[in-house]
Amino acid sequence: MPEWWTYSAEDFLLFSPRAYWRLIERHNEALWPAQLLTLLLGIAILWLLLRPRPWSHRAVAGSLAVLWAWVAWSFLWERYATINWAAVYIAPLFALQAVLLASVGGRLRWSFGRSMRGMVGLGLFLHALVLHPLTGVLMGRPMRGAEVFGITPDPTAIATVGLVLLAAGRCWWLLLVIPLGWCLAGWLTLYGMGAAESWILLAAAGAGAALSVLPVARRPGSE
Amino acid sequence: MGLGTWITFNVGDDDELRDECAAVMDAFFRAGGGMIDSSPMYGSSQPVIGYGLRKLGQPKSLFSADKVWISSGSRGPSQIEESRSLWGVPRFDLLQVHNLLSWEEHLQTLSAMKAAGQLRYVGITTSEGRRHDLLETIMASRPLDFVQLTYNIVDREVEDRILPLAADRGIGVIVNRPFQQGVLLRRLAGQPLPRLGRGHRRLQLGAGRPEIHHLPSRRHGGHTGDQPGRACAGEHGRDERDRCPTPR
Repeated sequence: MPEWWTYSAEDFLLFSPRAYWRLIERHNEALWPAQLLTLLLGIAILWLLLRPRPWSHRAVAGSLAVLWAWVAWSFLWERYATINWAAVYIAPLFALQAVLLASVGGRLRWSFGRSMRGMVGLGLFLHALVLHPLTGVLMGRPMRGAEVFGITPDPTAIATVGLVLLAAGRCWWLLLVIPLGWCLAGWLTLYGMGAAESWILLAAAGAGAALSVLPVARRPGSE
Repeated sequence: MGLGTWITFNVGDDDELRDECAAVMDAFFRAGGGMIDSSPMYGSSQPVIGYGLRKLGQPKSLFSADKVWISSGSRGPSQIEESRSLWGVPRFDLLQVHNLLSWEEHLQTLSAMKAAGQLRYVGITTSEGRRHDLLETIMASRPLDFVQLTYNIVDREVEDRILPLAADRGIGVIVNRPFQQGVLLRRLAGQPLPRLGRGHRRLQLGAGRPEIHHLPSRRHGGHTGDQPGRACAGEHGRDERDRCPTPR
């Protein structure tokens, strides 16, 4: 693209805020009550992080893999691509993240440990699960437009960044690349729309990138 | 005045918003509008235009303007055919090379289509002041019917060379971003309407606002012919420039 430095975030925005938020609302209406199931799955993941079992690590990674594949198909491919042609190129990356979670993630130890990295990781996950769906309401949008973990990409990516900060093992960082990339892309999109919650995505990406260099605190007996 | 579809018509398969776009098109045609402009880059804008045209019964005053926007010259014809199918029109009135992307290959395609009677007019586009040197080169050397560019009360670079060249070559000018995508209108929100008219040579819009110097003191009636944008091409003096804004 020639003269790329002359473009701003707004130049890449293909749709109006109204079209975008209505898309989220229509997606929620089409999938209801799947939101309850993904929230329950999130609570189960939280429980397994705090009370890990020998089998729970694969369960956490497998659950996340299913959710990323689900969001890739149901939201990006089927829904978001109708107003953003770039979504058809992003959906395969989400599918790749699902494969990485199932393969690399299945060999990691997913558990909460008391450390800066652990606390922030847990905080990001709890935000994605509980607070993020409410940000739209705080911004004056209806509850039916809530962005829910496992249903739309933003909370799913924030939750994954948080969870990967809690993971230990070989090549864990591979699982951070695509969620961080989505957080940055999501920040640009929402920033272009003038949405204040864009900064949540940037903060999540910044926290994930900064804290990923710190060591993971292991729970005694977690490995 | 034309009807641009960047962002505003990209509403996907949302029935409610599609009906709103069709209502805008209906009001546009009822008010005497003709030219609708789109691009494959604009997401679902093309099928939404097609939806509106079907709903309105293919208004006869339509002047269909679209673009070819693909880096591969050989894939231009298939993209154009897909665009035509999405609009649901027998042929386009105007096809433009979007943002000068692969312009040499696409101009060959468009010229061949025009020669074969599959297209009425050929054009090229740019926006926000980009690549004006190349735009000028193409305008001077190729047979073009239209150029599309950014021109508004703040962005006036084209006055120096591009508009005079268009007039010399008989090239129609389509103006995009006439209000900088609404920015100029938002700047003026809440301000009282100015007293415009003969003798007003300077308008102070307020602290931190742009100043408009040499406000037009006389207005001629421009000719429009059968081609949208010709009002700018024939007479490009300052008095005429605000007569042909067309969203991109």
